[in-house]
Amino acid sequence: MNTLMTARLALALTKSSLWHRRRILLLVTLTLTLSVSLLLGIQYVRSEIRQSFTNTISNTDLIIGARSGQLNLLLYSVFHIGDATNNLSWQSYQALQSDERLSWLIPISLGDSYNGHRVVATTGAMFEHFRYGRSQPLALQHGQWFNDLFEVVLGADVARAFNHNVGDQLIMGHGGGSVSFARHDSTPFTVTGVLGATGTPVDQAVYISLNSMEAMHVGWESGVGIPGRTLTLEQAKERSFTPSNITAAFAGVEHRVLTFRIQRDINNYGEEPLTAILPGVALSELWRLLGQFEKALLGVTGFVVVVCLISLATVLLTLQAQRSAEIAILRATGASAGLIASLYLLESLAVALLACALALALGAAGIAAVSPWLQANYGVLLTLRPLSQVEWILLAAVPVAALVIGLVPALSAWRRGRRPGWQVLDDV
Amino acid sequence: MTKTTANMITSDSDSASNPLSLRALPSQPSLQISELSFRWQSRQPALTFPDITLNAGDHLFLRGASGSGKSTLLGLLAGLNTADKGEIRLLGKSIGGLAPSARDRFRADHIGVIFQQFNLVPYLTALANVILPCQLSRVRRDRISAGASHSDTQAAIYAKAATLLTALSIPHELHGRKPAQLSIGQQQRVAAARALMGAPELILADEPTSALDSNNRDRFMQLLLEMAHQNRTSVVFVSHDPALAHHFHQQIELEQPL
Repeated sequence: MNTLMTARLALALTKSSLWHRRRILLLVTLTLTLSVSLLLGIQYVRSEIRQSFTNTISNTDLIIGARSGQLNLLLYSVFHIGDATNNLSWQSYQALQSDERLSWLIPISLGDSYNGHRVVATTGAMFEHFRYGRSQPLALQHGQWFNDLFEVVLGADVARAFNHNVGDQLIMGHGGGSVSFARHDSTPFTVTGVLGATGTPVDQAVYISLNSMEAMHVGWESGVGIPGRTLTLEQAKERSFTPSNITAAFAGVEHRVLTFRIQRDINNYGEEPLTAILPGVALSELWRLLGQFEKALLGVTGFVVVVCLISLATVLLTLQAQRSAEIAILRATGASAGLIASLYLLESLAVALLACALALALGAAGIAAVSPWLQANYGVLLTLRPLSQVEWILLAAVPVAALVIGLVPALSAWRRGRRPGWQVLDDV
Repeated sequence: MTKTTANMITSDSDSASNPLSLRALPSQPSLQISELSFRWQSRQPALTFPDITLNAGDHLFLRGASGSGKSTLLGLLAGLNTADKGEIRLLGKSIGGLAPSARDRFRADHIGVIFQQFNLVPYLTALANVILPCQLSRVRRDRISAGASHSDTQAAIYAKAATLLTALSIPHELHGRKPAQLSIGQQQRVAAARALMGAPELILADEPTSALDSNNRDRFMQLLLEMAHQNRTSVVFVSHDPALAHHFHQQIELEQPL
């Protein structure tokens, strides 16, 4: 009963005390909220970036290209960074197609660009089999996938950047680079569809058929289009095209257990030197390479934790120092050292919990507000998700740390209970 | 108004037959100290105090120059400090041997304290400040509301606090104010009301009038001692103002340590 009475009194005093000093406490809580948001935000973004990175390709078991290193192949085929050292002949591709252990194949052929965005020549298999993120298929936000010559499907960012929509006419540039001096003027492409945003390099590319790629290069054997030798749409439609080679192919394997054997068979293919890589392995190697960036973020997180704790300590100790007069009064009126200690602890805890709640709200609102902009400008997909275990632990550490810091004045109040002192108005 | 209040307080002190009250033993002096000495730090000279016996309901005036240990003695009496030597008996009980938590409890139950200044918890209203002892001590609460049910207890305590404040010339409209909105004189009287709340046997006052002008001072003394008398509460009053001495049954001058 007495404990209950004391607990009620402690809560009532804490409530009045918090309310009485609400202005300063609000500032203190805001300081703490910003620290906690920063800490949690960095951790969140770090794991999201990593997630976004590993999300670039999924369900693809093998990527096959000409003989090269696995990072090189991964970079040019998936991230569209750099160029292929060599091509994959159409005969080899057909050999792969006849391999029954592969359930599907997506051929891609790179080389041209549209205003700095890669032109990826492929087939309907791309739309059908390509997966990213958590096995998500490509989705069209407008129109449909190409099914004829000189039709193009745009990645979400390309469509947004140039404000293109279904029906627009595009002229492709020859070769890479954002400014092409040689352009395929005679073979304009018609937009038939716009892909939904994926947060992967898919958004940054435009997609045409392999046949279109061949058709637009008729008459370009010397590297420039020779007038009169290039084809018009009508002329092209009367011819049939077979690519002589492609850049790479994504493959799905029928039985996962066979993946390594198929990889070895492809690497030992007798007709042509080929390389098959496991995208997951290559991605994690690439991430290790880029790990410096993650380490830097981790370092920043560490500093933020330290800053957070110092600001928490400063703020709480300053707050408690202001209370010495009131504590002396309560002591003299008969409050036990335990009650005084609980007042300190409750206040620290209340401020910390409020700051955590505010930080969560702020973080959620911030991510909701910023993620469309990030997606539009940087192609980084930042999604709202429930906190991970690590993040919960980080968050829970804040009130725990507050309690530990609250213990400092609480213990000193306890000690003072056993130490001389009449009306002590000095330090904590 | 003052008269009715006075009646209520008298009737309260009539309930001294309450078994919870140590006043059931009228023969016990409220305060006895013998051979008491104390030093703040081992290298400092010890403060020694004269032997004192104060009968229940009597008031003691403690005078002395700065550094003579007036506040130290009050701290010892309140059980906030512990003596190096000698004995303090309050209401017949030796407090030297009590554990710290028992001393806190004893202080909450039997002692009211008035400081020189900063007497009130800044975030509580005048009324809530006065009620504080009843929230910290069942003994003092039960003295006000013996036998009442829970809701009646609360009501009785609030009524008692309001009565005390009014009796100490704090008009009703100030009861809900925070200390910062009260004058120093009003704050000291609220502190007196808190010390008197629940009729403790002993009130320790550490120069409570030093910040008051002479009018306020006289009124404060008059009200405090009058109400203490009604409760049969002993007041130990520290001051270096000799003009106040005539209010008290006993006077003791503390000497400077050698």
